[in-house]
Amino acid sequence: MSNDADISRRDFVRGRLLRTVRAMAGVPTPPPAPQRAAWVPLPIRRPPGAVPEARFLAECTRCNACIQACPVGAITVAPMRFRHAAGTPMIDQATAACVMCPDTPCISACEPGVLRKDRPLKMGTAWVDRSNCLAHRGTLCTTCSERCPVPGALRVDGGKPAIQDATCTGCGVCAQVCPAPINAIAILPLPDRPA
Amino acid sequence: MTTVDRREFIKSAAMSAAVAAAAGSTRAFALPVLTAPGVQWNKAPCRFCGTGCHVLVGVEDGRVVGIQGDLKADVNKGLLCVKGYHVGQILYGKDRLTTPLLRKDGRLVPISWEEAIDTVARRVLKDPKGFAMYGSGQWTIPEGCAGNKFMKGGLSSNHLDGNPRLCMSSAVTGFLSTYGVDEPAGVYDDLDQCDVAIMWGNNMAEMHPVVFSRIVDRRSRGEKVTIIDFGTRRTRTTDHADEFLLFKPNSDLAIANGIAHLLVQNNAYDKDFVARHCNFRQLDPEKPDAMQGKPMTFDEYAAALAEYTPERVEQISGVPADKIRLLAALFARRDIRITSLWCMGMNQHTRGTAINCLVHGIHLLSGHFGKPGDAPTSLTGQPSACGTVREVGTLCHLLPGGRLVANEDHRKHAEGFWNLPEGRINPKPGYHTVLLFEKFCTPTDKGGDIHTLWVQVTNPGQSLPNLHKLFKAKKGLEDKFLIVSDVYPTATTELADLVLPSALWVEKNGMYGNSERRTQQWFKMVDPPGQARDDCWQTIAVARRLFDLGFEGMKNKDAEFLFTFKDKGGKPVPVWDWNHYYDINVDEAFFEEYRPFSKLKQKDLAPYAEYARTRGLRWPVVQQPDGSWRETRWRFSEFDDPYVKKGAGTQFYNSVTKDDKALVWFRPWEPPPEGPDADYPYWLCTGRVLEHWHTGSMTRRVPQLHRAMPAAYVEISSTDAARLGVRSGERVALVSRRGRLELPCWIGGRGDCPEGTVFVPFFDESLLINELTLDAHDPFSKQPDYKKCAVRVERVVTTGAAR
Amino acid sequence: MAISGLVVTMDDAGVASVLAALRADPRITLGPPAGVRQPVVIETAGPAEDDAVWAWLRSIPGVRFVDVAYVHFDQGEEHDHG
Repeated sequence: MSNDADISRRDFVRGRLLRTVRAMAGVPTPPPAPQRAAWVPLPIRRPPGAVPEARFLAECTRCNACIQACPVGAITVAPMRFRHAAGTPMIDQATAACVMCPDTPCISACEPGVLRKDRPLKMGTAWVDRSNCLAHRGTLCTTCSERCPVPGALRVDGGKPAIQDATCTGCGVCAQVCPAPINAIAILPLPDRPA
Repeated sequence: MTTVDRREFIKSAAMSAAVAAAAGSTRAFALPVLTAPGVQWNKAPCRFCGTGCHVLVGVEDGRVVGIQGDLKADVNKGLLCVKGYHVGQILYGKDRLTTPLLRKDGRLVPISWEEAIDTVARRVLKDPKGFAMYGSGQWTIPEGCAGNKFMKGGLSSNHLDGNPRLCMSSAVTGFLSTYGVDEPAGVYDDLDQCDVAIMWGNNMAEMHPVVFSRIVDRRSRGEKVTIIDFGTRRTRTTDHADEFLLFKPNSDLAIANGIAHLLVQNNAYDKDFVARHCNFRQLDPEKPDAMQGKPMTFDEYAAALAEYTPERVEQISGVPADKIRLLAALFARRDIRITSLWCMGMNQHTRGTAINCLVHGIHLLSGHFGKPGDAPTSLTGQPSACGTVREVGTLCHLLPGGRLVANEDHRKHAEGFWNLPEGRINPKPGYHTVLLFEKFCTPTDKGGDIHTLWVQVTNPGQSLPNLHKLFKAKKGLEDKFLIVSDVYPTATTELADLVLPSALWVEKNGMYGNSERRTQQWFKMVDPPGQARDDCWQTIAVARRLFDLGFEGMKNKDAEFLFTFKDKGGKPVPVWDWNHYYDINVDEAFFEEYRPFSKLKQKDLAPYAEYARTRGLRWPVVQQPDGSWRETRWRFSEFDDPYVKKGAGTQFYNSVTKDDKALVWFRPWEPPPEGPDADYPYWLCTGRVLEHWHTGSMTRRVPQLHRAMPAAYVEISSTDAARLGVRSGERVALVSRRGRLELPCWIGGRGDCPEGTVFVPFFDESLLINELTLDAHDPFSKQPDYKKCAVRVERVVTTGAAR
Repeated sequence: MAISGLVVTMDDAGVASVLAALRADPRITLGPPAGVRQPVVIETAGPAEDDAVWAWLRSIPGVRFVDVAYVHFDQGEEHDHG
């Protein structure tokens, strides 16, 4: 039943600034920020239990076993824009979320062992943009906390969601279910991916 | 701009926003909205619930591109709920119905509008007495006027009923029994001023979130407001409550009687208010079906209550006796203001009329009535349940303005206003919803005398109780014909023989009436897709086809067409021709025809233009000496209601007893018609969730809402889940005497049921919980009980757990 | 850079001490108060610091609520937080 694509948070932040400038000051739209010439490595979100990024890139055989094992189809093949990481498994926050299966079938399926049960399951950290979060703006909403699969990772404090950074695995379920007009949750990647 | 300038600029923008927010009356701030110079913004009430929030709708190039909360609206002051922010997207689901469809050889195939309208007219001609219409509180006021006049004034048939029968009718009978006139005396302003808000089985945080915010926000301003949540399960409302009182299903009558008993026994009732403004009533044991009952004295009333001691009430309800005492003590206080709120919990009840009467009774007995903050207030679930159904009278026993079809004077009024020949209106009430669908789904040779049913703006194939009996049984009955006007394919169109594509919300002009007597108006902003057309036009076009075929009923007293509308020059406009439908404002014409009806019971409405100018006005709206129109907030109260005599203080001028007094009823607690037993050991309660509205046909097509709440589930207590050996997400089967449904369970999620109770929302058309619910209904309001029936829960063994 | 516009709602009794705490922080600018509701603007290096100041505001004794009226983050810095 879905139709329209979401407006990404980043586009929105940029858009809002332009709009604010226009609306409040009546001045012309400022020119867009200059494009960066040099290529900057894109942050990549790996499936849970991934070994350090350098080792992951070196040892992942691109066999797609984890992709096939995922019961919700959250793991995809990194596209070309990820350059040297293209072809490796990733979870694209814009379209999917890891549901934190208790039996971690993706890890069980990983033969080269770049996804490991003895590694932290952390894939990133959720971050609530309070300016877009309905609960923070006076509308009753508790969807993200109810659907968070990690106990204790997303608390509701005075009716408003608060992420517990240490517990949050960055699975992305909260961002997927956020019903705010402009999605209020971003999943921040781990600082070491790319290394 | 330099970096420093820009930073200063952003800082000043941030400061202006914060200053504006700090000065505002609520903690809610309008979300930033995507906008551009070409976007035109216009006001409209939200399409969803009965709260009646106003939104600003942004239109660019013939398409709705933005929605924002309307800061000028009294109701919501710029705030919207999670559904409201997305209301624009309901127009743009991929599967909008865009062409009339007729079932031929089992398949729905496109046909022309001419053929469609002719097909409906021919079904009427087959036998007008067996032709019925079913609408809802989603009808706009003019659409309701058209349907009512078409059926009652044109076909001389009262077989017109609507979804509010399933939703509001017990509130109606409660108001009528108590005050002699429908609809709350109070308004939302009570919520800004009450000291205590009592939720009678009412999950306001999810069902009326914006009104609930109005209460909760007061705490952020440093005000103290106590919220008491009465419920049969914990909900999001409970999270904000100071006191949560869990009661056993159906025992609310015992609790209400227990409070009244203590007020009387402790001599703590408001003697002055009672002496001046109340009479006492009970049902007549010799005529238990008669809603008017028979008088009783105060002493008889006190004696009838005597058995409802706190201990006895505890035994029946499970609510500790001390808590009953605490509630009675609250009502006994004269220094605080108490507002009671309720919705489906009290209305969808086989004793719905009774519990409604009892809650009004507690307020009257304790004098917590008629002062700002002191009010018994029912809320509505549909955007115009009040405006279109209760006021226009689109139910089988009603005529506009609080009139009854069974009353000869009332019929004469209606025949006068509609310019009909005398005797045109049938004195016999038509079939109420449950009976109507029973008659439609019963073979003709077995007494099923409704052969054709035209459904507009609602989805009974999902919302009726006991669906196998009341809807699905239509399948295979060859001579029965179902016509459905809708915007999307639904559970109802699945069995339709003719589907008519309709215009939705701002694709047409409209008027709604919300829970607090506020009449609202909007103008058409965009065109409907494909060949979709206004429901009002559809009704007029069928009427005109019948007129052209010589059907007498479609002529008024002067032998003119029933729906004759003239332009400013006095020339009739052929509005039945779609090309001319918008040549005049048909809504305004219908509304001005309807306005005189509103005077009888002091429900006065202002001219159409006043509603176009404002964010709605609460009736009675009375013209002032300077020509302006003044709305009324507190009805029956001298300080605000112009119809109250000077010096009366409070006057119930529509009084049943004709002495300006209200009725305080005694109604006993009785056991429910179906409760848990050895075979079906659980209570099943059904209801809505925050993200979806009614049967989900609109909200499930909004991607954000669909993702947030994709499918129905069964809420079950962790204790019961452990006993059954199921975990969250695993499937269980619910089985009632009427049906069986498999669905995933959710433990410790949105709400929390006590042991022995399960809850299932009804928004999901792929998991129809109403196949299990009971069609037992209140004897007076005919409203079914969706909140209580018996089921058993079975573990479903599957190979892989569904997530 | 992060700039946010907030409303700090205080207990009646806590107004003086809360305001003193707010004035002591150079990152905070105070606007004209409306009763117990104090508009403030916070200017910090990025979202992480903005979050930290917000959390700190909520922890000050006498503060009942901190509501967000406006947030601006400069691009490219939002991933610093992680």
